[in-house]
Amino acid sequence: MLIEGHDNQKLSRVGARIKSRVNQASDAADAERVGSSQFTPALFYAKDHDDSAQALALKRALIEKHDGKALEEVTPGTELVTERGTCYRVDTEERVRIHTIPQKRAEESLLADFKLLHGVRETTERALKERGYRNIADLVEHDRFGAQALSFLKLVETRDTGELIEWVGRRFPRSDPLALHASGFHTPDQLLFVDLETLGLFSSPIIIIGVAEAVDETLTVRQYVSRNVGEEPAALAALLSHVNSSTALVTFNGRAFDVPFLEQRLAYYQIHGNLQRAHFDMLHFARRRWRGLTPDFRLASLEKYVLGARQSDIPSALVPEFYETYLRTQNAGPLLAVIDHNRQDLIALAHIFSKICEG
Amino acid sequence: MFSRKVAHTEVLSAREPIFAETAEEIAPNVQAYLRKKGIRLYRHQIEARVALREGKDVVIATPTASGKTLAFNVPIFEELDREHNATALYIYPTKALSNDQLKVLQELELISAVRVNPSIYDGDTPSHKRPKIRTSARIVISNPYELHHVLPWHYKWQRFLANLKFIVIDEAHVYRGVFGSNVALLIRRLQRLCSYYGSEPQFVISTATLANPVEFGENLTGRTFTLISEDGSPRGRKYFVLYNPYADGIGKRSAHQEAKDLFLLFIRNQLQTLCFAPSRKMAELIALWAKNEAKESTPLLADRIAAYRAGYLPSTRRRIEEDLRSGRLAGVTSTNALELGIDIGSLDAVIMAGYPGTIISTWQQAGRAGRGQGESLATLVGFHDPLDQYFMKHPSALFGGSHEHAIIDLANEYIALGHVMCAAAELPLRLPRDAAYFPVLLSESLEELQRQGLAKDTPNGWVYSGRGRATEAVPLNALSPQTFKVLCEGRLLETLDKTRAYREAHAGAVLLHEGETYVVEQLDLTNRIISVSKKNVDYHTVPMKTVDLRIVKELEKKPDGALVVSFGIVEVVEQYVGYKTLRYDQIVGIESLDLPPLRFTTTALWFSVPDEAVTQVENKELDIGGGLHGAEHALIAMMPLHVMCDRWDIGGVSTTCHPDTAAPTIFIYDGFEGGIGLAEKAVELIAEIITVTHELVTGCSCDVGCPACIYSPKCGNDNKPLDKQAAIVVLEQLAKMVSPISNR
Repeated sequence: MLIEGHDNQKLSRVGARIKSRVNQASDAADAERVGSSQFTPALFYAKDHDDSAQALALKRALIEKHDGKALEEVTPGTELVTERGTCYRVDTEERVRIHTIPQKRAEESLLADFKLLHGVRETTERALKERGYRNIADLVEHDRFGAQALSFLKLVETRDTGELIEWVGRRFPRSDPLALHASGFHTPDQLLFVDLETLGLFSSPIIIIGVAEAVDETLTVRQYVSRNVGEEPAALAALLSHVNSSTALVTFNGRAFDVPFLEQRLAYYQIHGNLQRAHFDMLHFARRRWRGLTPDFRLASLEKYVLGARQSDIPSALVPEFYETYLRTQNAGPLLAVIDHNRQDLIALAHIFSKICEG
Repeated sequence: MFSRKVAHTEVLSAREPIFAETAEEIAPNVQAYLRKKGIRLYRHQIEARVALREGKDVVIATPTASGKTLAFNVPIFEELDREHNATALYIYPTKALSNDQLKVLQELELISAVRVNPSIYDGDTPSHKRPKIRTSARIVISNPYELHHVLPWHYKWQRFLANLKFIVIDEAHVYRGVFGSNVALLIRRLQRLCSYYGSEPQFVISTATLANPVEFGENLTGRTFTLISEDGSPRGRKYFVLYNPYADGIGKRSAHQEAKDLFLLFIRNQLQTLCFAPSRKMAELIALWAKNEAKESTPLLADRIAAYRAGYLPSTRRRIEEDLRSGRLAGVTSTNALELGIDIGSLDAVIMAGYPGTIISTWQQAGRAGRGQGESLATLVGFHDPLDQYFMKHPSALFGGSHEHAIIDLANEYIALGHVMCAAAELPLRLPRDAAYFPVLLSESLEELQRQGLAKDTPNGWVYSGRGRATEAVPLNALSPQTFKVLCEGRLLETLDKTRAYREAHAGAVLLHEGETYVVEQLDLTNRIISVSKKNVDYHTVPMKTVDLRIVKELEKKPDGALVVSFGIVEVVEQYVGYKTLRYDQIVGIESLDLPPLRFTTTALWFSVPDEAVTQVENKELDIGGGLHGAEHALIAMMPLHVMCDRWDIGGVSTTCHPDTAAPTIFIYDGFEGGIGLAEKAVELIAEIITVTHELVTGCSCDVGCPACIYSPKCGNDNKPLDKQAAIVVLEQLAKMVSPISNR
């Protein structure tokens, strides 16, 4: 059945068609997300003519400005060498004071709500309180709820935040502030803020893995950039180097997007790493906190309406296009805009976390 | 009154069951199941078990109702009993078949107590149930469409894939032509992932009778197969009747009316009957007519007649299937939805209203009749078109003829490129390691994908680098994505695809649903909503359409000898211009319609027929229209073996003068939106195809045409006009023009 001498003309026709189908599928997925009420914040109304025209003008300006310059010239950074190859690391620091929920208050709040126990609703809770049970710790000897109370108490005492979040999530909506209280059991330096820039919505390469860590009043932002698709495994390996047994992740829509995406890419490259751990997805908390205040729940909007203005920026939906332009032209300009966008998102994420924890 | 129209009766003799003893004892758990069900295994079932236990891949090609399912379920349950982590994947072409198989497996699990947690994983599986199935089910039942979208998530299926022992592909004959080529490459992707997780599953392919089951299995999976085709199940005597309503040359009643008459005759004589109709509407109409007629004489019987087709709610379908099994229903009319192995028990009689289009389908449908060792009846009612009439007059073409070849093409660039891309998105592709899965076109595809920015050669292998989901850019089959909702007073009746909506649900159309008549009030094209109201009417409607083919762009002009063959983009435009209102077969009115045309863009080859041919045809006082049409059909008939596709994958149009070429022209196009490389490949092979076609038609011993030469099972014009002698002249001239094959 082997057929020799396939002419290139035919294959290139087939190739061009599949390229257009891939892009169509990508556009359709974007449109679907934006159109639905549950859209991903990482997406922007790129179809909005003004925004997209502005962004394209920005791209042109960037290309002109950085004509003939390599990424390494325009953004100071280091070439990171890992077992899985190289990638480019861009480090920046930002003065941000991260407020966390005080440990004591976190513990009190988590133990105060009897409704965390299966079978307890408002009336039962009232009845229990009337009978003198002040908190879940008091209930460990209780006939009916004792076993549950003991399990929960153990989670609180051992500071098993991952399981605590899951427990709260089973009893209450994901947006319930109680889940966030578990973050009080972490010191700020155990929090790892994570935000990705990707080429597609699923099963496509990651452009940047951005992480931020808070020490004292300084937020250290490290961005692992794939200068080409081959550098993705190194960026993944670098991310894992930030994760240890006490790490808790803080993301914006990371439960639905960033973490599954990372897991898929890790599996794709046969890199072993476990991201199933304590994870505070700020999208849910932000929705509850600022419902009605912003037109949508993209990070950029929250920044604009809740935190104050954001610098000029590219819409998330144009990130793939900017990156592809960079790959095609090797002009650092468009990639620079993506790096900047990712950094701003990370800083905004830290601010939002802090603000919600501050109360 | 009926006997005069019986063109032929073929008696298929009864056969005693052939049992065999097992050399190796069947596992006690599974034995318990067999005992409880009173089953003794037939020889072919034992053979399948032996082969599977020896680690062989098996293709089972015994007839309908011979116990194929049990043949593989027994050894698979034994292995899953022995090996507590082992898993199996069952692939079915439709959700209905998956549901059916689930019941069988659940019963097997219950009685044998082998815990396999059989589960369906398809588009209907709720998302909250999915994680549990991935982590705990040992038998997963799915379909190719779902599998296509699941493979990128392989890491979530690690347990299942790492322990995968068997892949069952049931009703595999469905996977032929373009669809089959897609499924074959999908299977390669699955095999690569299995190997990555450390498993090498055995294959079981179960199929209808084919001309080439072993070769087909090899193409579908890349493995070598042991064939099990010697049926050991018992069979009662079967009478296969060819019934010709046009035996007198006139046919006072339409074939549909005749099918209805036979249907009633059979059920009145206590024969539980299944009547296959060529369309959803006909299935409904025959049931409706039969019911109405029965109401007058035997009202109780009227309630025991129903129609069955796709588009009904799953619960309705389940109920009808159950009522057939229990015998509550005496007669059911159906589309080919009941052709595949849905369990409806066995019936006394089957009627096929019109030739089903392939020999494979004919035997599948006829196989629905036959209860144990009792006698059964299968009747093919011949329609008026020449193809059906040929079978009426030449029964040996049906009973002595060979079954179709199931063809798969791994070297189709359009299909290969898409699946190589999908594979690269699942795990980095490595050369030469992965050439085992993609023996053809792998490196060429990767190079091209790299040129398009869709893949990149990295130190980690070839990596997918596109933006969108790879799988969404690769359709497995030509499916219409747009669905229209039929609403009656706000209630959802059913859904229709776009073409069907235009054809059957235009304003004024009578829509039949579960034996009730609904009149379409509005077809809202923007919101894709069809509003209907329930009205008892005694007429039905038939749309009238025109089909035009327009050349959009000529991409290539390839001279082959003196013949110039063009290849390019064409648009097939179907326009529904009006509809007829019929009371039974009587036209009682004609209305016009104002619908936008349906446009279908694809790729085609075309060439003009030389004036010399036209002159010769006219000199011989033959019909040039019939000659072109016949030549077109014959060329299409010869294409599958040359370009490696199924006949139903391609279409054709011929015309004595086409506006875009100003000459008598034959077009052959791909039946897939955007084209899929079939006509494109035929351009390269045109000399060979024309030469072989000419030899075929000239050498064919029939008088005016037959299914082996110029009759087409899928002709939109009922095989009219056709002129075999004129077709020979046309083909002869064409054959003279192309360069001789020997010189190539």
